[in-house]
This record gives sequence, C-alpha cells and structure tokens, in this order.
Amino acid sequence: MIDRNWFEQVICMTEAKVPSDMIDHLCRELGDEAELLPYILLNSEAFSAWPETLETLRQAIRGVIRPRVLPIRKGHEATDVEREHLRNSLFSLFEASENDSEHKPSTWAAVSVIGKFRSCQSGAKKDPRWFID
Amino acid sequence: MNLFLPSDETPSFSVVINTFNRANLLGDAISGVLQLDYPKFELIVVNGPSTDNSEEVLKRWHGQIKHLHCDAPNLSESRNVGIEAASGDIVAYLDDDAVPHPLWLRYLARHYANPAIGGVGGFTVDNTGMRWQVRKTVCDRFGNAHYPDDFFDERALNFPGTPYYPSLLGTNSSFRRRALFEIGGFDHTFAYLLDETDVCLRLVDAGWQVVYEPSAMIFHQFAESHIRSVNNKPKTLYPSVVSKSYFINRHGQVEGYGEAADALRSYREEVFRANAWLEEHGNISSSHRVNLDNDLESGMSAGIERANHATIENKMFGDMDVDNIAEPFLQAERADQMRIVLVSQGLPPENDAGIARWTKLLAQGLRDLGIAVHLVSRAQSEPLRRFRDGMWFHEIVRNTTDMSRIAAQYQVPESGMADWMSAVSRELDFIKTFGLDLVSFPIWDLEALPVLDDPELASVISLHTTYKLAKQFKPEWSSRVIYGRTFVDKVIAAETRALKQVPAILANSQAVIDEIENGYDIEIADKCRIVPHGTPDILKSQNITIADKVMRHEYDGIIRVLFAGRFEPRKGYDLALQVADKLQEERQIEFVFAGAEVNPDTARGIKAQLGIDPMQLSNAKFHGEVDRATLDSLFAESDVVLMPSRFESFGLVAIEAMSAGSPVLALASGGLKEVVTEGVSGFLYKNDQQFVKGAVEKLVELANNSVQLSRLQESSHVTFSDHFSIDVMAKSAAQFYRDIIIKREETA
Repeated sequence: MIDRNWFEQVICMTEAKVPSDMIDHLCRELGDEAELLPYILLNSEAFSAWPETLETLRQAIRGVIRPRVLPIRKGHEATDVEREHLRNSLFSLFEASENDSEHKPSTWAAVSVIGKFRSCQSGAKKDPRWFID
Repeated sequence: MNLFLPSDETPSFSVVINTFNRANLLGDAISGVLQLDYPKFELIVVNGPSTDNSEEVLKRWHGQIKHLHCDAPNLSESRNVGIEAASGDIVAYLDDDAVPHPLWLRYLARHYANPAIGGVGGFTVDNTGMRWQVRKTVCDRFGNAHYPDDFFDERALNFPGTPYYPSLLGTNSSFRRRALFEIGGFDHTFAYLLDETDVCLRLVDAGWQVVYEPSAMIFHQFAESHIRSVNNKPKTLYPSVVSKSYFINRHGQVEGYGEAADALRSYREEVFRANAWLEEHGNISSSHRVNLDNDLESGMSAGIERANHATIENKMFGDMDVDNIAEPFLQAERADQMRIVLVSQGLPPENDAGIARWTKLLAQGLRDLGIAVHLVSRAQSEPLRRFRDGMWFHEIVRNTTDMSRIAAQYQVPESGMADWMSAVSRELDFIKTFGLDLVSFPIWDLEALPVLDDPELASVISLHTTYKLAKQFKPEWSSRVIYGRTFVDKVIAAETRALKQVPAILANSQAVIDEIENGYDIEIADKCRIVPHGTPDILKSQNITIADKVMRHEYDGIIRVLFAGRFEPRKGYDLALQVADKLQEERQIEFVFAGAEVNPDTARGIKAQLGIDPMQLSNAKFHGEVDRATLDSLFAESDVVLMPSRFESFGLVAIEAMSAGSPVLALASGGLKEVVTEGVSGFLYKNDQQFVKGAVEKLVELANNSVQLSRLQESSHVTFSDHFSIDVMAKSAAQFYRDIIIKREETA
C-alpha cells in the first residue's frame, strides 16, 4: 500500500495525469513505491514538460545490463569445495600416519573423515540418511 | 551395483507392532508397513490390553496380517507373543506410533548375510520428519546409554562380557529369530524400558553380533502413552524403575557388587533430583511429584527383589514360550507398487481453494486404490514430513541452495519461484530414495519444473488456471510494470516452454485444452489426457437420500435454488440475480446465494449496474462467504443449482450440485458443456438472454411438477456417481500415470 500523500506529491512534481478518483485505487493496486515511476512514465504522461529528464530516463533504461550468461552453479561449487577440503584432510591423515610415529592420527578420525567424504559424493543422494539433519 | 541382497537371497521378515491404546495412529503404522518394498515379509500386530477402538482398526486388515492379543500392559510379554507367532527368519519391531522408510527391511536385510549377526537396528527420525531422534546408542552393563559419533564402529564391542555394547531402539530393531530363541526372547520383568537393551546384551554375551544400519530409517511420532505424556513428562515411573533396578542387578554385578550398588544409589538420587526439578519448574504438581517419588521407592524394591529371585532360580533365559509353533508365514501384499508425488502450494484444511482441494481429493482417491502418495506443499511455518491417513505429507520451506542455477537454467524469477523449485527438487531427491515413479505438478507456479529434465522420473503437468489466462483478470499485473516484467512475464514464458517440453498433461476438460492452445498458440492435445474432476458424494456425507429431498419438497411445496460463487461477471451472478428478480411473485421458489458478501455498498453498486437491489429481493437469502461444511449443507438443501458462468475451464460447482442430487441450469460455456448433460443432469442455455428466460420458465415448471424434479435429481446423482466421483477420477488418473511410467520405461 502506497502512502496517498506521497503519491500525490509525486504526481504534482512530475505533472503526471492521474485522475483524482483513481489515486486510492492505484495506491492499493501498485502496492510498492518502486512501481510508481514506471507506471506514471508509461501511462500518465509524466515528465512530458521535461524532455531532458524523459530522455535521461530512457537512456537509463537502455543502459541496464541484462544477464546473458548462466551464473555459476553455486550449489555444486559449494559441494566441490567441501569435497576438496575433505580430500586434503584425508591425505594429511595418511601422511601423518606414514611419517610421524609420535602423532599418528586415531583410526576414528580417519573413519570420520571418510564418512563425511562419502556424504558429499553424488551417490549419497540415493541414501535417505543424508536428508535428515 | 546393487545396494541390496538379490531377492532370492533375502531372509524373510516378521514385522511386529505391539500396540496399546493407540487406535488413532495404529492404522498409519500398518499402512506404512504395507508400503514396504521387500519381497518376503509378514506383519504381526499384538494388541492389548487396549480399551479404545484398536480392534476395530485392525479389522480393516483381517486376513492380511497376523492379529494377536496380549492381556497384560507389558511390552516384553507383548513382544514375546509376536516372536512366538513369527515365521520369518528375522523379527523386526517398530512402535504403533512409527512408520518405516519403504526400504527399511532391505537395508536391515543386507547385514543378515553374515551368519554371526544376531541383531540390526536403524536410525530413528523424530516427529518433525526432519531431524534425528536416536542414532547410535551404546550402553554399559548398568543400562546407562551413551551416544557416540555416527562413524563410531560398534562392531568391535561385540564380544561376551563386553563392558559396552550396541543397544538398539525398540521402535527400530530387528533380531535373528534363531538368536531370540537361543536366549529365550524377552524377559517379562521389563514391562517397559530396557527390554530391548537387555536382549541386545544377552545376545552379545551369547556370542552374537549386534550392529547399526544408519539408512534403515523409522519415522517416529513419539506419541503419548500410558507411561508418558505427549511432552514426554512421566505419568508413572514404576515400570521403568523396576526395569532399571532389575537390569543393574542382573547385569551390573559382572562389574563388581560395589559398582552395582553405586549405580543403584546414583540412579535413585538422579531420579529424585529430576522429580524435584520438574516440580520446581512447574512441570508437575506437588502431589504428582510425591507419586513419582513413591513409584521410585516401590519400583526399586520390586526390581531388586525380582533380580534376587532370578539369581536364586538361576534364570538364564527370557520368558518366551520356545515350544510354541507359529502359524505359517503370511506374506504381506501391497495393492499397488506405484509411488507418485503430487505438488500443491497449499492443502486443505488450511487452503480449500481449487488446486489445493483437487490435489488432496485426488491423493485420497489414489491412496484408496493402494497407490503410495506423497503430497509436497509449502509449510505454514517449520518444515515437516509425516505419514498421516495413509499418505506422506512433505511441508517444505524455500531453499536457496540451487536457486540461482534454477533461475538461470529455466529463466524464472529467483525469489518466489526458483527458491521454491529448489526446495521441491531437494525434497524430490529425498522421495526418490523411497522408489519414486512419477511427479505431477500444476501449471500454476510450475514448482516442480526441473523434474522435466530428470531422466529418473516420469512427469505430468496438470492444467488449471495459468498466469497467461489469469492476466486478463489481474489488472494490477499490468499496472505494476516492474512486477509484471520481472515476474509475470517470465512466468508466462516459462509456462509456454514447460507446456512444449512436458511429455504428458492431465486436463479436466477439452475446454481447458482449447483455451490453452489458443492462448499460447501451441498444440498440446496429443499429449493430453482428459480426466474430469471428482468430488465427494455430498448426499452420502450429509447422510440423506434423493427420497429425503423429494419428501422435503413435497412437504412444504418449496423448491430451493442455489447460486454458489463470487459476485464476478465471469461467474454470471448478474444473471442469477435477474432470474431471482423475475420470480419474486412465485412464492414457492426461494433463492440462496453463497460466496459473496452483500452489504449496502455492494448492493448500491449492483443496483446501479443491473437495476436490481439485492437487499430488496424478498425471495433471496445471502450467506456471504461460507466454509466448506456450510456450503455442503447448502448444496444438500438445494433442489436446483444455477451456474450461469460465462467461462469455466471445468465447472466444479456443477458436479458438486450433482453430488448433492441437484440438477444444474447453466450457460453452455467452457467445460460446462462437457459436465452438464442436457435433460439428464440439468439444462444448458446458449447466451445470457436465453439463460434468464429459460431458467425462469424451467424453475416454474419444476416447481409445479415434482415428479419431473425428482427424476432430474435422481439422474443428476447417477451422472455424478458414474462420471465425477473421487473413485472414478482416481482410477482414470492412475491409469494415465501408469501409461506414462510404462512409456518412459520403454523409451529409456
């Protein structure tokens, strides 16, 4: 719902031609203040006395950059990062296991990392347990 | 690679449900078990000593399940009755307030390929359907539970005399029947609590192995019982205290007599403290606390005494009758193996509008045919998964994980559309683990659109109102330029692509197919199947007959004419008002208008437009917007229904009228031409003028000829039963779904 006073001020400033008995209806129908400018530009001859402003607004519309390329697949990217991290963790555990006899990782730590790695695999989608928090 | 054992190598299962006064949930537990995907299993239900209508519920499955009784409120006794009746290689337990994942037995079964395995349990989901209730549990010999990480390997604990051992949850446990016989089954002293823990420990001590299978899932309602309230506050502690003290004395003494005595002492102190805490925090009354404290004292005495008796008697086994010979294996059979998802933004009772109501009615009809049905809808607040009335309900919330990708791939708005598509896709991934065959979703909002590209699933779009067709009735979509271009126009473009891409379309009338083809300038007829809407039998639900209606009419000589709809030009309310206006002198004809509020403002508007003041109509009553129950009553009370809609893709009100045994006077427009049969279930008129003139004449004629009216009422209801019942709709839709699944499999 748009504030009626604000609506009337905009009409006054832009010299838009909106019948007074339509204002309440449009306040409800447009709902959002952002919808007012395009409405009065397209339907109510707003700025008709200000050709330079009109031209600037038209240029601004032409200048909008529209997406032409598919965005990166965010969901899959996140999974890949997580898998990479777990892969590195697992490799570190193997290395520690081979080289450092005093700080050998526990079997539990390794099993835990392997388990988490499995949960990131595409095949995990077939297992119902991964859909419960 | 197959995850599971080949069917010919799978062990047979006896699934046992022990029930006690849970009639409201028992039906769902049984329906859930009978949807299991497993080649060899029987279902045993042990009831008792229930005082509710559990027996009545069980009668529905007479001959399909083994139905036994237990005279004592003792879970171990009830479990042993189940084992004694079991003929399967494995006995699996779930509670009467629980439902299994369809692959529950398949996941459990693969462990029994190892002959050393005596017991396997799964993970249990809580009553939200979204979170775990219990996963791995390891107990000590005093019955105290510990909860290790999911990746903890419990197999190493399986040796006789072990201080810790895997303890399965009763509602999600299974045991090799031979192993249960070897240890004598359950010990009857465990009337409640620790019954399955005792069995697990005795199995491990006897040399068997007990393991967890995380993917063997049970959905647990965790309902109220005779022991606990719905918010898990104890009603009585006696049976659980007996169990605990008995357990400590029976098994804890291996750790040393002093240790066992310490365990008993600390348990007693802990329970006293817990009772005091509950009282101090206002969870229980003072008198209830006194009762619980008394339960503790008397329960401990009883538990210790029974443990002493058991020691003196050298009790080595459980209390089941090992000599009992079970009845032959009673193979459980599912009526239909098809599993489908129906998507709808809302569902009754919260949302009783068009798509929501149709979806729920279709789901119920499909369920009654034995088809497994999942309903995916938007959550009112928190997400939820539950099995209720034989159907799975998935209430989801918007999800942004794949939102951007979906928005880009399908060129739909991110917020309000791609976010919901992402949520639906994720839930469908979960339902796929159930063995899903087909997804049906409405054209409105296209919430399962990505499923069209899923090679694993068959998909159907059901035709209802579309954004493009609705646009003419939504002036705000044109006024709101930003919303129109960034949302509405994108959705219309996506609708067009979806209609071209989808392999199969369910339509309720030829009219809606024509309308879509004209509106979008595409051809879809070849992939459409017309399945008319169905609706419940109002006469049946109101418990009246056509004879009752005739008698009522003959008694007071009045015929009641109903108009049900909004006061919109499309619904032809103006024509209905004109008919009422012209019949003001006919005292034997009364009009009822339901669906729109008439106040002085609206009455002035109508008078200015039509020259009729509805508030001055002496023969009309206006009910405004009414709920479903009131509307059904109005249909039942009506003798004739007016439906002068200028366009209806189907004409739901017309079939609701027929289901109430009321003939329909309608405009011959849209789907109404297909729904109303001239002279059988009503009369059709070509245009506005003919409708008003024809309806006035027909109503006067019917008011003076009760024989003709009663014949029409009879034939209207027959038409409904033959063409527009839920059963007819569900059977036609099921056949369509089956054809699509077969076609997809053949193509693949």
